[in-house]
Amino acid sequence: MRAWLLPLCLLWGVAAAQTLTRPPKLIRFVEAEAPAPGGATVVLQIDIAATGAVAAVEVLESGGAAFDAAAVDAAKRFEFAPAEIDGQPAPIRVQYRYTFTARIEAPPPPTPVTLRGQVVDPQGAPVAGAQVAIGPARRVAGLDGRFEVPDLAPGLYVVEISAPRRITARTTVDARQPGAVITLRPVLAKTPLDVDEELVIRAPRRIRAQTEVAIRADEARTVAGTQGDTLKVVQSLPGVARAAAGSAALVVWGAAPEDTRVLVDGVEIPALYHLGGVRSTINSALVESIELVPGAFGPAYGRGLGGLVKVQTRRLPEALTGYVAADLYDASAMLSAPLGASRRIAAAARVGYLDRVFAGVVEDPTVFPIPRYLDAQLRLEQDLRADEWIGLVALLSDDQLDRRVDRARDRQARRSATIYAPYRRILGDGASLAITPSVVAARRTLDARFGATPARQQVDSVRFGLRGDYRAALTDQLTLALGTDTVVEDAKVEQIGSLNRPPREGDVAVFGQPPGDDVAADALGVRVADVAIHGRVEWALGPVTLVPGLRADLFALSSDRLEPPIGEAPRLGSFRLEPALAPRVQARWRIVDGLTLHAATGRYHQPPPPEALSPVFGNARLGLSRATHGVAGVQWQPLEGLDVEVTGFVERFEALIARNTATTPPLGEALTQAGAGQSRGVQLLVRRSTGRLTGWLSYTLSRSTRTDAPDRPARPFDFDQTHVLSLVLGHRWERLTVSGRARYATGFPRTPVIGAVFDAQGDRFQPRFGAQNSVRIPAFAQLDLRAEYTRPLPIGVLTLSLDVLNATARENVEELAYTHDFSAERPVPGLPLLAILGARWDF
Amino acid sequence: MGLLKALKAAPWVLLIGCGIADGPSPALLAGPRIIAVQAEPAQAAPGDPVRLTAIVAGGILERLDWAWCTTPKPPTENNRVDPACLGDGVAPLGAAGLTIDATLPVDGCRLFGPESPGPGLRPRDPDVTGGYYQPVILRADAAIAVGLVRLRCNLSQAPLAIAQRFAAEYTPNQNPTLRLEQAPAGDAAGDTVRVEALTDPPERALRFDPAARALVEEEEALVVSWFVTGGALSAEQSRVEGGRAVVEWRAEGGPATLHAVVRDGRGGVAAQAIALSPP
Repeated sequence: MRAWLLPLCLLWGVAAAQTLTRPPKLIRFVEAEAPAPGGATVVLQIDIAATGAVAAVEVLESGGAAFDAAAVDAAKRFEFAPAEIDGQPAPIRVQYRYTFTARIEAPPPPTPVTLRGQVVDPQGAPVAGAQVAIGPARRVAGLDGRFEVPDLAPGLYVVEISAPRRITARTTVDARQPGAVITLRPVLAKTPLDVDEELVIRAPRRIRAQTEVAIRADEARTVAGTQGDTLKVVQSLPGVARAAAGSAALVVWGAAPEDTRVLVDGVEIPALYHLGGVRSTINSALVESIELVPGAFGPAYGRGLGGLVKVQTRRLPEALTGYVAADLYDASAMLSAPLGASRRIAAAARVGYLDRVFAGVVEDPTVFPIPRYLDAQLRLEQDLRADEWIGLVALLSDDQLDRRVDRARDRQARRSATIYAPYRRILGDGASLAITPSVVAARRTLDARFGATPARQQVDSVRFGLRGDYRAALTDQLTLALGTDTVVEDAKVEQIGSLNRPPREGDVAVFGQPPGDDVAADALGVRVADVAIHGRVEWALGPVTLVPGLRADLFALSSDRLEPPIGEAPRLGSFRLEPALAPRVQARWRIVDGLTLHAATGRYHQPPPPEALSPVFGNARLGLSRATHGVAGVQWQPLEGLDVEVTGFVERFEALIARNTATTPPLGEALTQAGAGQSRGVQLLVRRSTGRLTGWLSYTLSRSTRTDAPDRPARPFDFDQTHVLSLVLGHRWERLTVSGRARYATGFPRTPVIGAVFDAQGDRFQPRFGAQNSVRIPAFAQLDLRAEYTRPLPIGVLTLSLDVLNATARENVEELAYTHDFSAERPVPGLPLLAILGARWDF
Repeated sequence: MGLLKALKAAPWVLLIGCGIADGPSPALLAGPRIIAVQAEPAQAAPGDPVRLTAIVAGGILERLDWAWCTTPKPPTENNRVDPACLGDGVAPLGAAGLTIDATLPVDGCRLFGPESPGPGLRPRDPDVTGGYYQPVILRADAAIAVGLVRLRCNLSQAPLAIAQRFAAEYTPNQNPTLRLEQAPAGDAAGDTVRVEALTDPPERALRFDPAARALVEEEEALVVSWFVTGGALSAEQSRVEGGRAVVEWRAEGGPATLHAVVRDGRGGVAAQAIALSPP
């Protein structure tokens, strides 16, 4: 019961000559005990003394005897701040209406309902990490797919269960029986590849990029040749050239490795793989999925001319989980734990010991550049409200690669720390909001010495970023996506040595050839900023979906040195603004169920890397490189779980950074922007994603060329591979998973050596070259196998794995080398048959 | 042991870029070869006369054509000279012998040195010793060798005070000295012969450091390259320490001739030969 006190009016018995300067103010209200159910109103007259105390109370309008008595009793215990007349406290009389509202008996609290269950796939295997949304409550299924939502009020509920790359399941649950315990076993099937809409919980439909290939982390982990490293599966996806052994380069659709961006939760990281390419820099246990977009991606992303690799990290489970693993390469561990009901934390680390393994086997370990690496990750999650959370993620990576041959020494080191704070929210109207501030600190060092000639480059950079993405369905046919993408990078560059070190794409050199003996030096500060806004509309017109979009960038490029230091000329800096508009369009036509045509095109811009802005080694006046992508293809699903995609692509590159080939280049123009290129091809993907036998066949036929200057003929791109074929198959039994990967790839182009000249001062022969990139390394073919056996333990699961690389012991050629006088060619052999045992304990 | 073999072989995969493949030793002379080119004086200014000597080992070259390279190499060229200098981009010296007298081209410091080759154009970068060189091309039948003559140029890109001090204090480079001595038989293993190369102390010289933009004084590093007409050597190159470098020769047949070339890293060269017999 609740009583309301409503002042009606104030009557004060004061002489007309007197003035009320402050009315009384009720400072203590006493609630009356209602004598009976129902409502009543009592009007009271209250006399307030000069002290503020209640002097007398009378009933002016009765609400009934019992209510009158209760109201008078309560009013007598009121306290007031006294009224003031002519500025002095004075007694006063007021009227109050005391209203008793009708009493409503609250029903007894219902006995809560519990909803629990296990999310499984069509084969009955648990789906880990699925999102379960029940009214306002949300849960994340554990590694065994189980979830529980206690303390639900009885009622009817719509339950949504979703997981990345799976079709969201929805069901209505009758939970009106108080105290009921309801068990569900939702089945989540994988999203067929030709389904263009990916259902995100309560969020508008998202249109996939036309060329996107997504792999779930747990699927990727079992692929042969990856040694259980989820992210290494990217190397087997269509459109990706085979990287040379020992290389971490990602060559996508004929674009240079440095033109492809790697994004983790939307934040660009310095490298996907450790030096040497042995491992990825992010622990697989934290990865939810990997998406490769080789080209023609939407306006949300920029600053890259090539493709995108998007890594989505996993939401943390609400249970204590983790693993410990070790193999020939490294040891790693991860622990994830809840911190209360709404907070979770996970930490992971990996330490590579390949160098120490080989130190006991290889006679002279200083000769071999065996990579040393470690990485660590930390993730915190805090649920804020339903469909709203914030996180903090830290990714650390450290690499070192030493090589020493005769009088040459070559050391590479790379160290980076990436910290970002993802904020995600699904709004009540179904719109989604994602905000991700980030900071990336990195150091890259190349430190070599060829005889007495040094070659050192060090780049220290700090990059601040802020991404914001908002998506909302305007109508059933229209969805709007808007966003901002801002990056500010501050870099310090120090370099000494030959202009040709480090080597660039297009340099004519032979394997193992030292750079020139010329020595230059520079040290400068560089800042590159990009403020971008982007938007797109997803417009569904029956079977046709159009996605026009636009990205507008404003780049600011500045360096503190415009010209090389000459004499006593003062040091001048530079600052330039370069705007860039990038329209991008996607279209999709679902001809019939299971058959879809698609096409996309777009413009792309990329700023120069900091070291290229050196006026000594590069060119402080370099601006944006540009590219135009165009793709078209067909997606066909002839059978459930079987997808076929054929995609043709053309990419044109303009204003590429290239060496200045002039005999005497202008001052400060060691690099130019006169480079151009083109890449075209067609790729095929046949993929089976359901059942016990899964895998894919991918084939890419492509040709990528470059022109270093307008007066130069086009030449094959250094990483051009005409044919790249990958067949990946895996079969799962109860506890045993066996997979194989067969690869074939055309060899990289190389420039033939047609003779030699004796350098009488350097006491060495130097090669004479034929036409640039006119021969190729012999084709590569390799079969890798992997077997994985799992055994439940009293606590957790033990997994034993065996990877066999180059199972047929084929002698592949990784490079062409020459005798000291270049009179004979010698192949550099690739990987021998290599077996790698590993063990992993998950709990 | 299959796994062990695999482990031993696996590093190849990780070693891309590590070095040149095996082949016959560069120290073994299978025929006549130019092993060095000496200029006397070892450093000279454009327009100065120099005596050039091709040091040939392993036989006799019947004809040797000399030419000045006249085309500077692009900064992007890893080799010593522009490819044009292996073709028509040369100025023949009109002589055919192991030793010739020539005059350094007058535009050497502009084409190959620190002077700007034209308004707004980039001058050459020095080598690690601060040196600039006039290339000379030697042709003997199909074989081509490139020799370098260290130029004496002003530091036109350095601050004025530094350039003035350099011009006043710099001492032109001189060719090193070299003397070969066969060590007593007891100093080597039974089937080997030990040879010592003896040199005078290395010179000290000023150099303009492009990173610090200051003059630094450094001692040159002497390195001996070894060549032999037969047998095998314990090293192809040896650093001179304390005025001496040592190599051991193992006979694989009859007598042989050991050739040694000492280089000071600044264009200075000296050569000697010694006849060796199996112990």
